[in-house]
Amino acid sequence: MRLALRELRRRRRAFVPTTLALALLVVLLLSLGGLLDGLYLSSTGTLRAQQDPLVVFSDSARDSVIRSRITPEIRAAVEAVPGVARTDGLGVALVGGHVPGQADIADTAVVGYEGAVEGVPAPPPPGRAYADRSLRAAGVDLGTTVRVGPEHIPLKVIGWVRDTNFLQQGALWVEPGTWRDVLRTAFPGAAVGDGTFQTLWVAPTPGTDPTGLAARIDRAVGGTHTISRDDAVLAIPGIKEQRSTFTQIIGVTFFVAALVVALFFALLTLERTALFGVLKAIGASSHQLATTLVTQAVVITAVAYGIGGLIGVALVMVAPAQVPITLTPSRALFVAVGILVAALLGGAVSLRRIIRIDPAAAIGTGT
Amino acid sequence: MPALQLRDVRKTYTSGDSEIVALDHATLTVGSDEILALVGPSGSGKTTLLSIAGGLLSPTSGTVSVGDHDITGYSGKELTRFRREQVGFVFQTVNLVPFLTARENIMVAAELSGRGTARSTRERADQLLGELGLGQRGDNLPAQLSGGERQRVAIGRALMNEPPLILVDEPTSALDTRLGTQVMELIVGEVKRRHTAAVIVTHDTRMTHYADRTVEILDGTLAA
Repeated sequence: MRLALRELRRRRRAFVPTTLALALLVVLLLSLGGLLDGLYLSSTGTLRAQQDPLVVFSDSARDSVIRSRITPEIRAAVEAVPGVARTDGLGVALVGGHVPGQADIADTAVVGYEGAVEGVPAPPPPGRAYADRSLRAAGVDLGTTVRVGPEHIPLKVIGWVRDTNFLQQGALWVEPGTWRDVLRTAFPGAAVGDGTFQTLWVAPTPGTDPTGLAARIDRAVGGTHTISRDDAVLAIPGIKEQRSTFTQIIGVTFFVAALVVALFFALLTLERTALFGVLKAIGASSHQLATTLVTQAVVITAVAYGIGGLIGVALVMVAPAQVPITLTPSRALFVAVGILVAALLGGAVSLRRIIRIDPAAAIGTGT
Repeated sequence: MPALQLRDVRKTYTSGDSEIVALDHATLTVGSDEILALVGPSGSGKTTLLSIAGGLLSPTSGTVSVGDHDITGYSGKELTRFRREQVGFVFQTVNLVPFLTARENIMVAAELSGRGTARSTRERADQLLGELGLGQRGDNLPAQLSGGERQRVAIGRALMNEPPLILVDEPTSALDTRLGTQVMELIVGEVKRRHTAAVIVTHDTRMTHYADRTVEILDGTLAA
């Protein structure tokens, strides 16, 4: 290990290009991961905030919140199924909102709810709303009256909530009647009557298996499709596609990182073949030489992560509010572990060559 | 007990259908504080013999003992440990680690074996540097040293673990006569002072008078 660290210190320049290349890949990985998380979080907050584990859609809606309709009759039938403890209706209307003093119309998701939402207080009085903090970027503040939809229905912001957006539109949490007014005026063809919601969230009685309950609800009620909260989140349009696309790009980037390290250490090992031969001749084991390589791979990866991490955080901080980029600790940890594993795998390519170096080559046999 | 004993050692290589004999039934004994010069022309098998004695090559047949170690049947791992603890090598092309200072190049032998503390290793390396006339050069990298100084560092590295047998391969081939003489005097002096055995391979017959005994080798066969 001392040998590895001494070489890193004395031959710093030899390691700089690879370290910088890895640092840039770290920036790319953090940016891609940040965008993936940002898109995911800003699209799914409304559903992730629900505390109930099951959600009932109308069968024909194909798990779309916007298309689904749950009438009071269906709700009564759901509540009659053994194992259902409580239900809460939820509806969303995607509309533009006029913010006083702002030229641009804010994209908002007016969410009508009844309760059991994490981080959101009980429904406010009619004409009042709890606003997602992301709407601050659109000029919304406490006490601001946002006028939504074509009839400019006034919604006065009386409090903040966090991480509750839907399809990247700032959530305004309102009581169900207000939501129905907004939906009726903005989308007359999609208007719903009193008591009707788009989705119905179900809390099972203690000890009830949610999966079994979902099947029993659909069998008993008919015309419904009941799924878990996680499945409902993934059913939001574009979420699966975004995940799949970004995951593939991130995977390729990790592969490139492994390739960079593999090529670098392959060249370095080739350059050091004679030196390793001498070290083996004087008693270095293959394990000791492999440790040298692994130590160097870990150190340059750590330095690259430090540099790339700082640049990545700076980029996220200066990114415009419109760019849905979020850097989470779990993403930072994922990239750190991933880049380290990629570097070790890349470095491992040279281990075989190190093991095969013949110490007799150091002395040049056959003379 | 002899420092080195080769009994009927043979080393052959195959090249296509033919067999090349690099060392042919070599039998040799080196005393525990004896300096042996092994002389022969290029391609005579002297480096093969040195490699077998140092555990770098395994013989095709015959037995090899260094001190009380019969290394003939040693595994790769056992040979690595043997080389680390029982022999010191001085190579023809010096082969110092280019990014280590003179002191660190000497210390590396002890560090590989895990012997001693960092402090004691450093003190021992400094002592050797002083004995080799390199007291002021400990912090210099090999590129900052002359050819003779580099060879002296290589000698220090070979002596660091105080092995009972020193194997030296063509120590003067890259040096002029004056430096070659100095290096040979240094090797002989250090080896004698430690009552250690040494085998010095050379094709330079002018250097053989430094040895206690000279053995010639030709076409893989030791002179009787």
